[in-house]
Amino acid sequence: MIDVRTAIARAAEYAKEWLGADKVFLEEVELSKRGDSAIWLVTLSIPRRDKPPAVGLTYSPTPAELLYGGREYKVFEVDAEAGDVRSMKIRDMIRNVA
Amino acid sequence: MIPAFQEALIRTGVLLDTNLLILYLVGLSNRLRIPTFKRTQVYSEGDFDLLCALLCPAKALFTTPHILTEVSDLVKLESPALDLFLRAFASWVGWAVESTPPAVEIVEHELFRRLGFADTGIAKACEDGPAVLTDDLDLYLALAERELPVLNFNHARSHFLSL
Repeated sequence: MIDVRTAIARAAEYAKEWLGADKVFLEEVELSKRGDSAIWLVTLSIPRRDKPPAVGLTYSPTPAELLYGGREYKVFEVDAEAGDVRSMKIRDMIRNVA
Repeated sequence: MIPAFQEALIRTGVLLDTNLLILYLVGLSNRLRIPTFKRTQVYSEGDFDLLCALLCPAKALFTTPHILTEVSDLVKLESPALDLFLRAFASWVGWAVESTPPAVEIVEHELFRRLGFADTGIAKACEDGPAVLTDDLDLYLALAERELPVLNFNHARSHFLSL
């Protein structure tokens, strides 16, 4: 089984290749199951494509960015055995429930 | 690091959410178990080192009875691993400042429906000053939206992993 770092790296590579993101942030990661297969669910955030890209190693999303939707959240499903990215979905946000 | 988080960390202290407290205690009791134990499989030994580094400048360590209950309930180990873990857990209870938001205030809090009891307890405790370190995206966003001092541990991991 691939370890968590490899799973995160695979998801980040996929996001950069297919979404054109220069800089991604790890937001959440969990080990789950789909049928009999183990999968890593890696949530990454990327800058919205209509916003300027974030730069710098010390960058962290600001409350204003979060409030005004400066980032998109995607969940990448990574096969825990083969290490392939199986799917990418929009992360359901529950911020409007309250 | 976000300045508000850093300032609260140094001036008041930090409160770890349940997942990170489990990582910390499992790491203290036997760091080699981190990648294999069910509750810490999503972390590496390097993440434990990163967590320790983030905690270093903290003035105090905070917790809530709800976090301690979750940690105690979620960690299922056999002896002798359990004995080592419980020793670390007991030490933590001795070090940590216990914040005890009243249950009635938690269930009346605007975040209760969204976050549930334990995480709303964290939000209440955080309103009194300590920074919050979490890897729960929903809790992070809820606190960040309110401009409370919070850091998503995964953002620190992102730098460490050079994402």
